[in-house]
Order: sequence, then C-alpha cells, then structure tokens
Amino acid sequence: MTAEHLRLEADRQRRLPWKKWGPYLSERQWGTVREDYSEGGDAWQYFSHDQARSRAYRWGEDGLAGFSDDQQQLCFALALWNGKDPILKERLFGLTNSEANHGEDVKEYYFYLDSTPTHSYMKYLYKYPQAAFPYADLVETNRGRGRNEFEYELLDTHVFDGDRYFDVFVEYAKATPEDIVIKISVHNRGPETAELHVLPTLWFRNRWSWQGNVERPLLNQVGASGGVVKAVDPELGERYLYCEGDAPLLFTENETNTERIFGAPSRSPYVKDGINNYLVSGQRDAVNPDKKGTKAAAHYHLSVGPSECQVVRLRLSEMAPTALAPTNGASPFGKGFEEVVLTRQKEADEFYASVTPATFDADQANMMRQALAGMLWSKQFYHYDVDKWLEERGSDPFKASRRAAPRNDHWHHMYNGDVISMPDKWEYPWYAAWDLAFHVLALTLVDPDFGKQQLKLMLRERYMHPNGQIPAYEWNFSDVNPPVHAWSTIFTYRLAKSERGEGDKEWLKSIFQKLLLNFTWWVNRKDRSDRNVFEGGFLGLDNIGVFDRSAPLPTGGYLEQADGTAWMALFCENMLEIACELSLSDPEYADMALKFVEHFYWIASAMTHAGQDTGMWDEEDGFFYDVLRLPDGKAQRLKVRSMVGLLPLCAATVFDGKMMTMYPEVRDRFRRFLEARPEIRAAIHDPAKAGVAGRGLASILDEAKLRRVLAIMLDEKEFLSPFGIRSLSRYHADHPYVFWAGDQEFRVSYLPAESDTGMFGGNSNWRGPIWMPMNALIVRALIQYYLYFGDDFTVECPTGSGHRMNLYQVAEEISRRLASMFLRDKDGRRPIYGGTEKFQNDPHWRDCLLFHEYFHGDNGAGLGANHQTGWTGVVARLMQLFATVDPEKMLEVGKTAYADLLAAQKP
Amino acid sequence: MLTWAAVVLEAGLLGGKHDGSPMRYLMDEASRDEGQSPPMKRLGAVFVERLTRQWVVLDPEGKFWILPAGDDPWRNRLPFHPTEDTGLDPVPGHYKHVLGLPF
Repeated sequence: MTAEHLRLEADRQRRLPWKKWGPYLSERQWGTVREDYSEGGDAWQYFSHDQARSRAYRWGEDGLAGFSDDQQQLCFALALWNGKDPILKERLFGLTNSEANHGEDVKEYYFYLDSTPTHSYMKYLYKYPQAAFPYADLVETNRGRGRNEFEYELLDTHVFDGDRYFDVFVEYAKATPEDIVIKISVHNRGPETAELHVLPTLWFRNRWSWQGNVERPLLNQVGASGGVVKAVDPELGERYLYCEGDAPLLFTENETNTERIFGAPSRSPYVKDGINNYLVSGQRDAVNPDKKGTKAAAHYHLSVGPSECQVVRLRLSEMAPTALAPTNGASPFGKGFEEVVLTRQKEADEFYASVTPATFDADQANMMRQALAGMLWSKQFYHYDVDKWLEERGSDPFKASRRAAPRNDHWHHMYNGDVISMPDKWEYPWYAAWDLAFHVLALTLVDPDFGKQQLKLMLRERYMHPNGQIPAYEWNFSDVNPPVHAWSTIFTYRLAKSERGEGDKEWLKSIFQKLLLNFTWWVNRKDRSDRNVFEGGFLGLDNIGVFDRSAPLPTGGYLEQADGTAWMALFCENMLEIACELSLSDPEYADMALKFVEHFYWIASAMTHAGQDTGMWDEEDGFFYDVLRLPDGKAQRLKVRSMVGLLPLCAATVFDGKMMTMYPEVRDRFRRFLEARPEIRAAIHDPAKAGVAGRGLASILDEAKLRRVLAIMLDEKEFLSPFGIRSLSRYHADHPYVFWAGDQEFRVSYLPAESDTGMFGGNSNWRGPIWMPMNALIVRALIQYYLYFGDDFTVECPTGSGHRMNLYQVAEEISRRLASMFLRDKDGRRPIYGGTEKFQNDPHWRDCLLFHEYFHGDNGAGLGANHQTGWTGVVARLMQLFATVDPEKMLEVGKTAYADLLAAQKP
Repeated sequence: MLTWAAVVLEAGLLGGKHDGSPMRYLMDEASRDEGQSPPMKRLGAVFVERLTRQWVVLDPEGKFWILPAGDDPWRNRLPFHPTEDTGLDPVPGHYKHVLGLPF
C-alpha cells in the first residue's frame, strides 16, 4: 500500500481527517443563483465580477488556487498584482452569459496539475500577464461578435506576446491533516525583470453578518514583528498562518463595502476591498492599523529577473508558534518545509504509479494524472439553504403575503452544505445531478469512498425532493436530468466489492430504497399516457431537438422521447442489477428484481410497438426518433439523427442468471410472464435466448436492429468521427432537418463546433460535437453486447471500410479515438488545442492539459467550458479500462472481470 | 430602482389606499377575511434612500425608519415618511443583521 492509500484508509476509518482541508473554495461565487436576490432572477447581472471584490458573499467564497476546511469556515487563496491592473487579481475573470457570444466563459489560463485524493499534495498553475489585464477589450470584442464567430480569447488579445507573463505555481503539502505547507513559485517567463505583488490571503467566510447568533471570528497579527497570523473561530478553533520573511501583514474585514455597492455608509472603515484599495489606490487608511480583522494578507513585493524563479513560503497550521518551532528547528520554514513538499510529491508519484497502467507512455500517464487532478481540484464546498434563501428574499413559502421567487420555490426542504464534485468551478460552480453520476465513474479510480458518499448525498432528505425527484441544478432544481444514478451506483459497488472482498450491502440497500422513490417519480410524472413511453424535456441534451424540449411545443401536443424512454429502460436494468445483487443475501429483493425485469420489458416493447406506424423505431431508416403527438391525434417522427436515437442502443445489460438459479419460483413467474405475452418478445431482443456462457441480455434492440443502428453509428459520414461518436450525424451537414409549425421554420443542421442559437444559454452544443459521457455510455453498452454475443459477432468498423471488429474491439477503438484528442499526435500536436500555437508548441504550455466540456465533431478541438474535468475526466476511466482488461478473460468471467482485475492489481 | 410604493407593493406588504391611510397590509386583510389565520412572522425590509444614500428600514409593523450613521443605528433610528417621490433601492433581506436590526 502506498502512503496515500494509508491516508485514505485512515480517513475512511475516521482515525485522521486527511480530507478536512482541500481545494473546496469555488472559483466563482459571483453570478450564481445562491447570491442572487434580484426580482427577476438575473443572477449574472445582480452580483457581478466587478462587485465581487467589494461585496461579501452570503453562501460561499471564491479565490485563486483556493483552499479551505470542509465547512469553508477559514479560506486561503492567492491574490496577485502586477502593478498595472486596476484591481488585484483575487479571482478568475470571465464573461457573463450575455457578454459573450457563446455564453459564459472564463478568460484566464490556469491548470490543475496535480492532486492526491486526500489533498496531501496539490499543484496548480496560474499564468498572469505582466501587462495590464485586458478586461475591457475582452468584454467589448466578445460583445461585438456573433454566434457564428469564434470566441475572443485571452491569447487573442496579445497580452502574452513576448512571453511577458508570470507562471505562478501554488503547491500545498500536508505535513499532518492540520499542518499544511504552502509553496508559491513565481517564474518570470519574459525577457525583462518584472515586478509582482504576491498576497497570500487568509479570511473567514462571512457567517456572522447574516445571522444574529453567530460569533464573529478573528484574525490578528501575533507579536509586533509580523510573520504570523492567528485565526480564532469559536467552532474551528485556533489556526496560525506562518509567512516567511518580513512581509507586512494587512488586515481588513470580509464585510461589504456598502458605500460602493449600495451607496449607503459602510458600518466599518475596513471592508472586503480594503487590501485592494490600500495597494492599488494607495488608501493608507483602508487597512486596520491594529492588525486585526476577518481578512488578512501578507504583502510580498517581488522583483523577478528574466527566467528567474522566486519562492514564497507559508504554513497553515493548528500548531502555535511555541509548539511548531521545536519540531522543525528554529523556523516553520526550516529544512522540514522542503522535506514535506518533496515527500508528498514523491508519495503522489507512487500513488499515481499504482493506479496508472504500466503500459502507458509518459504522455498518457501525464494525461491520466491531470484528468484526475482536475477532478479532485473540482471539489467545492456548496452551501445553499433554500428555505432561508427564500425567506431572505421575501418569498417564505409559508407566508401568505410572499413574493414570487424566480426559481426553486418548491425546493424549500433543501439544505445543502457539503463538499461536492463540481462540473467546472468557474463555469458551472454548482452540482448537476447527472454530471455527478459520471464524475463518480472517474473519481472512484482514486477515491472509492468519496464516490460512494457523493452518490448517497444526492439521495439524502436534504437534497432529494419529498416527491422523489433528484435535484437537477440550482438554476432550476425541477429540471429533469437523465437517470444515471443507478448505473453509477452498481458500477461503484462492484469496484469496491472486488477490492475489499465483500460489497457494502448496507450502502447499496440504502441507495436502492431511495432510487425506488426516484423511479416511481419518473413513472408517475413522465409517462403521460401510461403506456411506458416517457418524456422528460431537454434531458441534459440542451439544443439537440428540433424544438426546445423543455418548453411547450409550438405545435401543441407533446413529444414521446426516444432518449427519455431509453433512459428509463436503462434505469430499470440498473435497478434490476442492484436487486439481483441484494437478493443473493436477502430474498426480499428477488421479488423486486422480478418487478424490474417486467418493467424493463414493458418499456422496451413500448419503444418498438407504441404508436404502431408512428412508433419511435423507423424501419426504413433503421433508427430511433422522437415522436411528435399532435392535439388532433396525428403523430410523426422527427427524423433527426442524433444521440437521442443512439440511446436505445445504450439500454443493454447482460445478466449471469445467478438470481434466477437461486430463486426458481421467480424464474417460473418470469417464464409465465413471457409466455403469456409473446408480443412483448416479438420486436426486441428475446430474453429467453442465451448467449456466451449462458448469459442473458436485456436489450431494446434485437440483433437485426442492433446491426442497423451500429452501421449508422460507425459510419464516418454519420456519427463516427476521428475522435469519438458525434452527438448529431454529419449527414445533416448536407441534409438539414426542417420542420414547419405554421409559418415558423425549425431547422437542425450539423454544427461541429459552437451553438448558433441561444437555446439553454447558448453555451453548449449537442448538434455535432463529441461529448464524453455519452461516449462512455456507448462503450459500456458495446461491452455488454460483447459479453453476450462474444467474438463471433462482428461489424464493419468504420462502416464501409472492410475492417471487421467484434464489439469489444469497437468499444476499444472508440475509446482510443476519444483519448487521442488529448494526446500528442505524430506531429506532436494535441487535437484539443486546435490551431492555438502557444498551446501546441510552447514548452511552458503544451503539456498543461485542459479538459473541455465537449469537442469539435471533426477535429477534436476543445469547446465549451474549458475546465469541465468533471465528466470529461471519465476518459481516464476508459483509458484505464482498456489498458487493464483482457477481452478473453472478460468473456470468460463476465461483467465483474474488470473490477476483479483492478482489485488484483491493487498495491 | 423603484419608488417606495412600488417596492412595498411588490414586496406584497401593501394592499393599497382604501381608507385614507397610506398603508394597509395584505396580511392584515387576509387575517380579517379568514378570521382564524394564525399570527405570521413578518420580516420587514431594508432599503437605501436614493437621494440621501441613507439606510431606510421598514419594520414588521409597517413603519419606516431612517438609520443614522454611527454605532447602534437601530437604537438611534428616526421616523421616516416616504412620499410618492421617494426612491428606495432594495437591499437583500440578509443585510438586516449587518445593521443590527432586532427582527
């Protein structure tokens, strides 16, 4: 076991709280729903980046390379000033949804280079220009660009020309869970000496201003000579920030500058932007001469020569100066400091060596490590008491004279105050239910306990609605996300079971019970006709449809959604898998297993039968489509070849039959069910037909349909791109789908890059680009089919190429194409960085990887949110899976083979 | 920015001018109509007056107060009588604690 594995085990057993401190600070708290108290719900406008330096947050904190405890009481982050900017660089800058031509977008360069799962070692890089940051240019130029133009990026402003910038590396290394050394290394990459003000900043999240009964914490300078900040909080206790050298300490309060924000006198002369005003505006009285407050920074004024590196050292510790000195020589920065950094770095190397396949080359290993580092850096303390929030805005749900809230009115039961894996801590600094289920697939590579905790968290009474709905995300908790929680649950359970020799059945049971509520919610709310055909609205696929699928249709009537129905078929399969597993030790679950078997067949057969000639399956095209049902009773398929039509392929799961063998009476009931309803079996895969090793297969598609859908999916003129499966067929580049509703035209064309509409904010595009989570689902399904059909079932891949592959090989080929977006090609270029030469060629940029939200459908360039390591991090799992698994062994053992192999390789 | 009347109306506190009194509360109307409504918690509201840039508070009883600068502004509050021309900018409800308001 590596040292990091031992720390994980100590934390798991609650012996040492190694995860208490971590990167739990957000990168953007402004512009969020939580901070929005406006009448109309315009969160971006109501609390802007410009206000953020002066206005105390109500619900959370943000910062650069930030770090905090797991309740975000005490925060640490970096502030920088190049002497030219109009404000301190205390937080990342980006454009709001309405400012940018493709929705909100961070305009900074920062990289999550490393992190262990306990955050015993972390490394972050921020690139700070030496010239004035082009705030206004970014806003103005982007505002002038249309939806058909590229975004105007920070590199386009030329502020990095001549390499006149600083690389600022921030490293955290834990000596103990409560003793953290912090090393800030500043490299001048430019040709001349340049000055930089470095302000490591410590502050308390403001909890005292908003509630009458919270005692105010305090930061103050220890002794007269500086160098140590003492932090005292009634709940957290005492902490000390040691700052190397004789940097002056500046103190202010984390309180709103009400004079600047509201125009009314501030209650204290020391306010949130006090340090900014002291340094940038020369207001000498903006900081407290008594050296106390709730926000403090050490002020290092560096002059860094060309190619020179200067280091600032700090230490955040529970040990008082008198206690720390004897254990580290005369200073907290003695040789013990560097030893801690080097030791934790080395241990991080050992940890990643143990989880990275030995066959990986250096580039692959670097990519996998940064993918996982990004996921670990994306953990954030998320705080939102919806009842309190509604009350504070005059929308108390239990008050007769309440004002209407712009959103989340019906979620007043919610109290969130937890560390959660975020999709992207700048662009999406709020949890998204289905994203999170995908995050867990990757996070469990390094921290299975965290993955388990995250899955359970969304189902707790503080999150899940009393009616059984899982909250979607803060913009509208009532939106409907695809139900992928059960899949992530059984996947996670199997990994842990193989690793530990026995499964955590109590955890699995508790999740199953809550998912039952969620399943029932779906059945009762989203099957309008009670025919096992489901709606769901946009279902996470933003602009994929002909219409906005979450809004009333321009034609009237409603949509029967191929994806909604397929998602429910998959949900059934996954619930069935869980019930089968639990039934092995608890007979009551055998009955539940039968319930889900039967429900699956109702849904699967409805997909192919319902509507007869206007069902979702189109025999002529060999593809599934959404069906529009009009108020006059007419119906038609909306023939857009998109990921929606590939989802039925994803609803496939093999079963080893153990449960049926163990409970013959259940098997007999199932046999009678099928015998009595031959029509159910007619158009879907025959459940009575055994595959390799006697396995059964639950699948909507029979072999004929499967071959037809695969032929389209693997056609490079349709879905198969050089870098994975596209969200929309390339066929629509030359053949746009056009639908007329009265005199209004609706058109769907292939758009491989950014969206050309404002639908769902306009910052995502499902009309062509490659999305990692959907590709992961397809890979999963192909492996299921392979386990059933075996080596003899082959298809042409790519279609028309003459190359035949079995479905494991197809899955592996898709995975290889996905990973190749991030890896250097034969010319040394990474497709994700497209034509951005700085990222392709500069040695200080080219190995710093970004994990975008989605990717260009033809050339693999990264698009959308550029730190959405969240579900794009799933690529790490795919790479690791295919480097680990032996297909022959997998075919022999079945679907637990991968988890068993991983467990066998654990150090 | 809103006028004080619009603010209060939007806040759902005023029912309109029925009997010459400048303020009536929807809550009071509702209580009278329903007869048996339980007493409900009233939160009041915080504003900044547009011309003088001073803090203005609407207390749970429906009275307006202006808060002077200095320590313990609530104790030193002064009555405030908005006119139709008064401009009040609403401040989020959680700021009431910043001003030390007792409700």
